[in-house]
Amino acid sequence: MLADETSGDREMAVDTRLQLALARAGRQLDDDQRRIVRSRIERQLEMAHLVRAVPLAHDDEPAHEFSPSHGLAGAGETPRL
Amino acid sequence: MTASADALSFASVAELGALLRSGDVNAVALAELALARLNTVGRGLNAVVTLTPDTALAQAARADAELRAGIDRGPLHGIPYGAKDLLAARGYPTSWGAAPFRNQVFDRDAAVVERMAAAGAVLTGKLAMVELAGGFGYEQPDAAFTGPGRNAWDRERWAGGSSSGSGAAVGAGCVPLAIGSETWGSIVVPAAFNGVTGFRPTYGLVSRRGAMALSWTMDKIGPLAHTAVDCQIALAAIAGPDREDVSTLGRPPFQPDTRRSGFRFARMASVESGTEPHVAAHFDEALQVFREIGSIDEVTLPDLPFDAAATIVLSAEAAAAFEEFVGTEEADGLTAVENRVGLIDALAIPATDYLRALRVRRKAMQAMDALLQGFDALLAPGYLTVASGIGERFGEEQNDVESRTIGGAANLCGLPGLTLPAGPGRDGLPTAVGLTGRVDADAAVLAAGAAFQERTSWHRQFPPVKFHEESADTSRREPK
Repeated sequence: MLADETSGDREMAVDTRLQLALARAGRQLDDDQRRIVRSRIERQLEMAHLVRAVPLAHDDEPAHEFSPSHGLAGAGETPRL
Repeated sequence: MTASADALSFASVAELGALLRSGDVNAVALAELALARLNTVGRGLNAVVTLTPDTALAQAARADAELRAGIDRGPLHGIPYGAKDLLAARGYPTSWGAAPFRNQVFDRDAAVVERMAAAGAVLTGKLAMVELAGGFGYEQPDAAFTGPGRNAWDRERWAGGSSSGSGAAVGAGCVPLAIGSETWGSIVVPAAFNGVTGFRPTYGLVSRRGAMALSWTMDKIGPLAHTAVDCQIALAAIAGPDREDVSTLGRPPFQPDTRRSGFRFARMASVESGTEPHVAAHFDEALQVFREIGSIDEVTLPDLPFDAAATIVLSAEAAAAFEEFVGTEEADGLTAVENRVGLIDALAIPATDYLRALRVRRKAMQAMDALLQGFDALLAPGYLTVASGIGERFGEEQNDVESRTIGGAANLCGLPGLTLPAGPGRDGLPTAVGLTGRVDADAAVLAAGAAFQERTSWHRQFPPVKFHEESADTSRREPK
């Protein structure tokens, strides 16, 4: 059973993610900006809660594909930041 | 050129092709007309970032010379088009709709730009878009350095996003065809708002090489045009494998479907809450037409958190794709205030949440495939409302984390989707009907759309004369 961050420890979960996000972004935000980010993290947790509520078996694999190969011609030529 | 400019502005790709081959018009004249309308009507709608006259006139001159020499590259030969400004075009700025990137220039065309050129199409401009394809959480239309995308039918309404310029430019008769992209709604919404036909291909059918990456596992590139047949023509040119975009490997080649009847459709037992009465009424009328070309069974969307899973996948991938940009002072150059702190929250999404969303995605793919098995397409309103006001903030329903929409399900699962004009709704603005198909059912969905348009004329209705005369001293042609 997964812990439910939308109830008991919700505030702590939001604060923890907010601190992590701000540390990774590496900048100070004003109060309005901080409110926007906090609100988005709250929403993010609600969505995570919905996704975690879907029963999954141990062998339910993610829908992403990994194909070992010797590389692809032109890889790295796509526009990058 | 014997055909009038007014008559040409709203002609379909197929109609223009016939005129080119009969000699009633030539490609240079079509390119000049498109460039002029983009520069006047298009700029008036904030639909244009960069015109590409040098490329356009050179490609058009070559198209004319080839036709004279008996060389015909197919239905796009000599046809002008616009490309969303997240697609690289060698030597021109590719801004991604965002001021911090407005001077970015790539030295190679995007795969779709290459393929359009190979098919003989003529690139006339880079079209406006919501900055960074809307992935930074914008909450109102003023979210592009070119200004809010204005609607082809009413300048005071929004063109939709993020392919705003693609939808408006086709809707206003600047170009007969545009290439847009969709991660979640970015083709089908502008198509619905501007009264044009838009097609979102199956994920992986069209190469994304040279396109801005927002979400590697959700980004799709597709056409907007006046008709489903035109979208089919464009898709045939741009679809296909590309070793430089691994998502395209293994997809079957696109083959058009010539059926015009005998379809099997599904419709959801009830339309989504929040659907405007006019939209619902036109949807019911559209169902009558679909019954003429096939059967319709009611289905219920599986009970899975499509929207939540899609949001987590999109946010985590976008934050990774823009990790060096998110939260920097450079991001303060974005137009929408809320975008300047966009995706900072997503930097803290745990890998386990992302992977759980991908595990749920597999469940969703299986459930949607089972739901759509045996059907050519699922029918639903193209969008719940007509275009919103240019100064309006988006509604609360966009933040409803519990919602399960066909748009969320379709984009999470990589399903093809087609939006067709379905008649005027509130304030005379376009409504739309949407078709969603199984993976790789692109041809069937387009064939059903073509059959619908053979029985309706909504796609031949264009913005009021008054609007164009006032805004850009041009006029429309009368619908057939």
